[in-house]
Parts: sequence; C-alpha cells; structure tokens
Amino acid sequence: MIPAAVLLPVAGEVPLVTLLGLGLLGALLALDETSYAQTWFSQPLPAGVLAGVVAGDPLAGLAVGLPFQLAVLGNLPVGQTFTGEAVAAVVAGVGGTILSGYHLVPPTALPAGGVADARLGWVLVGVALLSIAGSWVVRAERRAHFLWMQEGHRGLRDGRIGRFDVILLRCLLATALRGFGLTLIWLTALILGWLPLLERLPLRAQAALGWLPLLAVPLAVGILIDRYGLRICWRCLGAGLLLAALLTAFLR
Amino acid sequence: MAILGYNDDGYDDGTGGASRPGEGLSQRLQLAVFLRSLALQAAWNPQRMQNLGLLVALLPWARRRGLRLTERRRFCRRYYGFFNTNPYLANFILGGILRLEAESGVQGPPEDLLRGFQDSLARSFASLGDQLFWLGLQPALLLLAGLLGLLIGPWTVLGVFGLFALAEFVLRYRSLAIGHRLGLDIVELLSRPGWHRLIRWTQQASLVLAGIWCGCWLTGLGAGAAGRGDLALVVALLGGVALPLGLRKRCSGEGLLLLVLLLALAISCI
Repeated sequence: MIPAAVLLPVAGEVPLVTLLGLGLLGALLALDETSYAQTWFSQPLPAGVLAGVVAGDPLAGLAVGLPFQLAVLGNLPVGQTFTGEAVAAVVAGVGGTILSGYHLVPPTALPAGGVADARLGWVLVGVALLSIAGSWVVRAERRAHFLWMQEGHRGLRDGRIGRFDVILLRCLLATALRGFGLTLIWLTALILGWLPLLERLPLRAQAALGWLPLLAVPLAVGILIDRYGLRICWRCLGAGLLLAALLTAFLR
Repeated sequence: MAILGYNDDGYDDGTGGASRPGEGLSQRLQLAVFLRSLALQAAWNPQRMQNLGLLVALLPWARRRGLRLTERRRFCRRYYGFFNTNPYLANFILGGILRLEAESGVQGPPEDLLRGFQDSLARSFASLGDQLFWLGLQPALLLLAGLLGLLIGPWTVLGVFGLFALAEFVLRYRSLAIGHRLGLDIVELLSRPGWHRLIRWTQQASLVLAGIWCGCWLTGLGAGAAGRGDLALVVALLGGVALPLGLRKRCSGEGLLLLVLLLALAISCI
C-alpha cells in the first residue's frame, strides 16, 4: 500500500506562502460563492483547478475537483436550500493532497487489472465530510447576518445611510474570514489527520475507494435525469452517447 | 415619458448625476449601482433575504439625489422589507425601481405600486433565473468545462469560467439600463417566449454533455475492466444512475457521494 513517508510532509517543509495563498483563495472563493459576483469560479471544479495552480499542480486540482463536482451537480446554491460548504473543503482537499506529496491524476479509465487508485477516493470522502461540516458554519454566519440586518433599523430611524454600507461590509468581511479560516483548519485536519488514515484501512475498503471517483459519472447522469425527468432525457442522452462514440473513434 | 403620470414638482435639479425622468441612467450612477448590485446576497438572511443588498445597491441614487433627512428615512424604509430574486437577473428590477423613483419625485412611488412591482417581478425573475442559470446553464457549463479540462488541460476550465464571468458582468451591467428604460414595461420582457426556449436549450445541452460523459466513461472503464468481467461495469452504471433517482432530491451531493461508497464496496466484491 502507500508508504507513510509519501503521505506526510516532513515537518517544516510545508511552504507558508502556499498555505497563505490557499487561505486567501479560500477567502476570495467564499466571497464569490454567494456574497459577491457569483462568477462560478467557486464551484468545486474551477476552485479545485485554482487551488491546484496555487499549490503547484493544476492537474491534481482537476483530479479532485472534477469527480466532486459531478457528484454535487444537483446542489443548488439558492437561498435556504444550500447543503454544503464546498469551497473551503475543495481548496483544502486539493492543497492537502499536493502538500502531502500525492500526485493524483483525473480518473479517466481503470488501470489494467481493474483496481483504481484509492487515494483519490479517500480525498473525496474527506472533502464531502468537510463540506457537510462547513455548512453549519455558513448557517451560523447567516444567523449573524440577520442580527446585523436588525441593527440597520437604527439607520431607518436616524437616516444615516452610511450605516447600511458598514453592515454590508461587515458581512463581506465575515464571509472572507470564514473562507480563510475554514480552509486553513480543514487543510491542517486533512494533512495531519485524514490522509494518513488511508493506509490503516482494510484492503477491501481501499479497493472500494478506488471505485468512488469513477462512480461520479453515473451519479451525475442520475442527478440530471432526476432533475429534468426521463421523458426529455432519453433522446438527448442518446445523442450524447452517439457523439461520445464518434469522439472516441476520432481521438483514436 | 412619464409612465406613471406623476408630476415631478419635488424633483431636485441638483441631482449630481442621478437620473431624471425620461432620461437614461448616467454612466457614473449605472456603474456605482452595478458594482454594489454584485453584493446583493452579501447579507443574505433567512428572514428578509436580500433586503440589505438591495438597499445598499440603491444608495448611490439616494446620495446623488441629495434627499433630506425625512426623505432619506422614507427611502430606506421602502427597500428594507423582504426582497428575494435571482442575482443574475436582479438588475432588471433595480433599473425599474430607479425609474419609478426618478419619476415619482422625492415622495417616492406609491407603496402599493412599488410593492406590487417589486414582489411580482422578483418572483418571476427568481423562477426564470433559477431555471436558466442554476438548473440549465450551470450543469451544462460544468460538464463542458470538465470535458475540455480532461481533453485539453486544466487551464481550459478556467477559460470557460472566465468567459462566463465576463458574460455575466455584461448582462448585469446592461440589464440595469434596460430595466430603467422599460420601467413598468419590464413585464413585457418577462412574457417573451425566448426565456423558455433558452431554458430548454441549456437543459438539452446539459443532457447531451451528460451522454458524452457517459459514453466516454463506458469506453474508458470498459477497456480497464476487461479481464474481470463486465458485471462490475453494469452494476456501477445502473447503481450510480439509480441512486439519485431513488432518493428523489432528498439527499445532497455530498450525501450521495458518501452513500455511493456502499455501491463501491459491493462492486469491489465482484
């Protein structure tokens, strides 16, 4: 299995600039997610690639971001329906993977013999758990927004409209700090706690983890069928399958 | 053209760049409102949702209008109630509100007119925007970017989203002016069939791309699984597709990923 030496970075070798860069990226993407602009760079796929760029391995960012993105394709960032805080989890997942010395590549095919790399699956499980945990922090932040919004009633009474600007800036700052803090906390938890656990798992579990990233594609197809209804799906899916056959023949 | 027919006696001439009835938005004001409208959801809260974001986006207009204390307080009260819509289409409404404000003088538009305008448009744009952006365009763009990322390289992912960001900014900037020009006639914009056509196209594009993904997955995995039987592949495909269908939106993506571990465990036993 994977030797411990590859899993843990040697103490003192974790570059602080990279950690700071990942934290800042987490802050910026947390702002982008709902608070400012919403450009979709905060979606797991581009966020993973960006984290990979900051940590020095964009391909690893694609490897982690892509299957996670496919699995959460049905998550809507709409009002109260949000279900996870994927930004900090993905940035930390990609950063932790690269800083731990993993060299992950996107899962496009099973290797000969049919056993895929378990490490990516283990990272994905960690990212999913952290995303769920982070959603509670977002809920707390939104409750704070409500309290601050109530402070705005003073502005309604005294007519000082500058108050509203200050409250909004406070909300933006809180979101940025949440992104920064969560990214660094999750990063530490992954590098020191989660990733080294993989080698202690039984072989059967490791084989199952190898399949996890590969199952993201059928999961995404199921999510879309669930969303749009089978009646409008089968024709378009069939056209896509045909195009895939042509694409594969062309690439060969 | 005064669409509401109010007199503009109370209109302050020293507006310092604020729009006047019948005129378009000044560039300065449009830019200021646009930049603030990007933070529409910054103070999102479960009770009044985007109310603070809406008010802060409209403040440049109030400042340039030079309102007196009582008018300022009235202005803030008008926009501090409940407000929620799709952020990408919100600027149509903001532009319309600025038009109503400009045409109604310092007293502001009648409360029931403003409330009706704001609420009905917010609901309609929320519904359209959610279907178009979250349910149609987003999955299509993510599937396309992922495919290009695998075929060409990770940088193309950033290119795709860079283009989306640019298009989104142009839409949000221009929709302010369009909303302002149309005023109450925004309703006609909503009734155009093009919206629903666009929604259908984006959803179909998502499905075609999902089909391409599925085909590539079968080809890639089929090659790797050769020698250990196709049963694992069939179970993976059917099980993976059936899981979200069986749960009927009751589970988040993260939950699905954790649940699919059980399927992975079953496949690894085959």
